[in-house]
Amino acid sequence: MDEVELLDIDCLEESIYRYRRVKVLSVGGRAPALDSLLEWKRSSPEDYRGIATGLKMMCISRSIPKTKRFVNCRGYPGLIEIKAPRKNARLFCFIHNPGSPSEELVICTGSYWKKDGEKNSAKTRQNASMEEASRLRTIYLESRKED
Amino acid sequence: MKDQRLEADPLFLVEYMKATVTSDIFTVMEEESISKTELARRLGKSRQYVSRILNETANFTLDSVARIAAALKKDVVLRLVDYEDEVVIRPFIKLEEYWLHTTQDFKTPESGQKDDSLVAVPYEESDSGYVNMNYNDSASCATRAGA
Repeated sequence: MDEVELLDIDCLEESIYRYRRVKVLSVGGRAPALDSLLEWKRSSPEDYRGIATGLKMMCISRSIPKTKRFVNCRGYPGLIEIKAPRKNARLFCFIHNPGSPSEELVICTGSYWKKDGEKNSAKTRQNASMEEASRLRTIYLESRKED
Repeated sequence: MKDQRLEADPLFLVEYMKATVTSDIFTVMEEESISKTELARRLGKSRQYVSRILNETANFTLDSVARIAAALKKDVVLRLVDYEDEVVIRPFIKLEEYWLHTTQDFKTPESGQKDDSLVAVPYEESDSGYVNMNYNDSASCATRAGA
């Protein structure tokens, strides 16, 4: 069975973890969300800033802030899409232990890159990305049950 | 050596400030049932201007933020703090029970159009049930009381 791990994101300061911490899910040595963040940081700083802003907002706010940056993934309960407004980057995550007095975790599972000018295939690709993010989430939750 | 933290990037600070102000504006509008039309009237601006604010496409200045705050009968706090200082966003929660939800219904009282990708639903961690965030319940937010 694939090894399931939670990894840190080094760009986020320890001091922002007020209400939640952010982790990246790695399954079988692969962490697609972390790969995307590192790629965006290198090649598309504006998208990276947009996503990082969303992550920081989730960490220091008691409730999930009301903003168009956070969208529920319809058909995938509990899965959240973090958007970089006016940009192409999308990061999928879910909150583990919501409402827990001990610790809430924002766990990033995958990503999606909205191509400019793309119309017909965008939804299909986005749905596939959500499906994959949801699959990874299920693997994580199953691994927690085993623990 | 260059400071790698996000907060050392002025462009990140701009994005983050814009995002948090926008989130606050939306929260106040929702909590106090202030429509886009009403806010536009108070500002002496168009409804489209208010939409641009909520979409984070408006160009914020200190002057415009102050005018919006005054129109919403709110104060503004803009302070410089150390990176290590604890900063917590406390939302304008008036409801006794507050569902932790991950998306926002941007349908203000007078706007008829509803984006079906932005439907507010209670956050659920699993298919088995909902998680209710009751912030008046000390047991459910024990670690948060002193934050």
